[in-house]
Amino acid sequence: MTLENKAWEKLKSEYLNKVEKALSSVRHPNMTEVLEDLQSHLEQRFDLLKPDEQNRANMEKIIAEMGPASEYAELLSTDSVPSARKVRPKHLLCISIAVVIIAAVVLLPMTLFRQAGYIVKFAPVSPFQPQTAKELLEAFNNEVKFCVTTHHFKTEVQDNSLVGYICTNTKADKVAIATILGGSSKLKLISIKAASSKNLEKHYVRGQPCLQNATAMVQGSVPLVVSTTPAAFTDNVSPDLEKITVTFDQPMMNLSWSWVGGGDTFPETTGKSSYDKSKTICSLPVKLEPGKFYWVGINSPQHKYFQTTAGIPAQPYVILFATKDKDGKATAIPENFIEEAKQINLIKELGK
Amino acid sequence: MNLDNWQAQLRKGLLDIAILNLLGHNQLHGYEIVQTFKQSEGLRIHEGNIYPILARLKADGLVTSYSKPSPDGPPRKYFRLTELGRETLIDMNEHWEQIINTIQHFRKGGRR
Repeated sequence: MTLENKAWEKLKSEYLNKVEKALSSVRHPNMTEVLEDLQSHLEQRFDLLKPDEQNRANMEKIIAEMGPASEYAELLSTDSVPSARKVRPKHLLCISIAVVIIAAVVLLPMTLFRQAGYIVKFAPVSPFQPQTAKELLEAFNNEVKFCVTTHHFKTEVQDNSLVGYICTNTKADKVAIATILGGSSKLKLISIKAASSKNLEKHYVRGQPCLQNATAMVQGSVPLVVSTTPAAFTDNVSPDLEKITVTFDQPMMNLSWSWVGGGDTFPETTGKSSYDKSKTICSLPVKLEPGKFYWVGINSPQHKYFQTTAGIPAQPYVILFATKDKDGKATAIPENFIEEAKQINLIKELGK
Repeated sequence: MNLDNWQAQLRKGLLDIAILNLLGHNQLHGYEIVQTFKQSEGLRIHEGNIYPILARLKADGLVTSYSKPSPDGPPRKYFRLTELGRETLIDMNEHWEQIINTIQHFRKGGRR
């Protein structure tokens, strides 16, 4: 070990000890992980120094750029009260009384005027030009056929065109409506805002309550994935493949899907998803890159819009695959991704 | 009022949403996240600060990590959003928009 390396190890170790001491006040379960990540980061920074740059000044600069050890505890802590300022027991009674008063003064009105849901504002897309509120709301219902727990609505004219407002009870409905309108050729989403019950009662018409637990009430079987293109776990897919397809064992609801994924492992899409005439095959136009692995989910516990016309969602499934590299060789798919996908797809196998 | 102190407090409050938004677009390792922050004028932070935040987001189920081989050295730990993270980010961004709109409104006098 060179003198520079020894000096660096000493500096690094001193810094990590300080951080460990600061973090021990928080007692967070991920404390060890933070220290490991920090150590790895410091090693990476040191490795980036050229041999002639590995001097004391640069080492100290790296440590200084990491920040004071005292900052770590506050950033890791989930408490609103910083651990350094622990509350003294004799003040607990005063604080308890204050909390009760605040609860009575602040929380009561908040409960009365609490958020009741979300208002989804949408408008028709040309050439669709509804002339009546009924026509616009029917178009919405046709697009969003699944059970949404909407309970208030209204329409109004803006710039000589009708716009609609639908209120949802839950966050899940809000996300679902936004997803479906995002893929609609007839309607477009304008905004989504939170609303209080008072606001809804005052400005919106109360609609018929939607059927709850619709999936439990309808007759039919859970749709299953029969095949996919590419097949799951294939590691030598052509990067020229232009669309990903999934085939179900029964007709599915048109214009309704949940391609799940994101970030670097989700392929770049080049167009809108669509079903074939039989409504059993859904395609997603994509542009793939050579030498990459991809994770494309079919439904997930939170996203279930691959579903039958009766509203029964398909079992989640994952098309995990990798493209050939530039030399035409297969690309390895990380083991942890394979394990995760196998677990999800196993549920589908059991569903058979 | 100490402007530096105010800026530091504001930055700390915004780091979660900033990191989640970065991970909403890409799966990144810690060093890449740090580099991105270094290029940003308004949200400069100490390099080490990223890791306690990532650990907390991970404990909350918003972020997950995996190890990936690196051509330059030991395997790197990449972070990515979970489904819960994506949904939470939608809500956080929505709330952020509301805050910005309110501040803009107040800057203009706050009258309707």
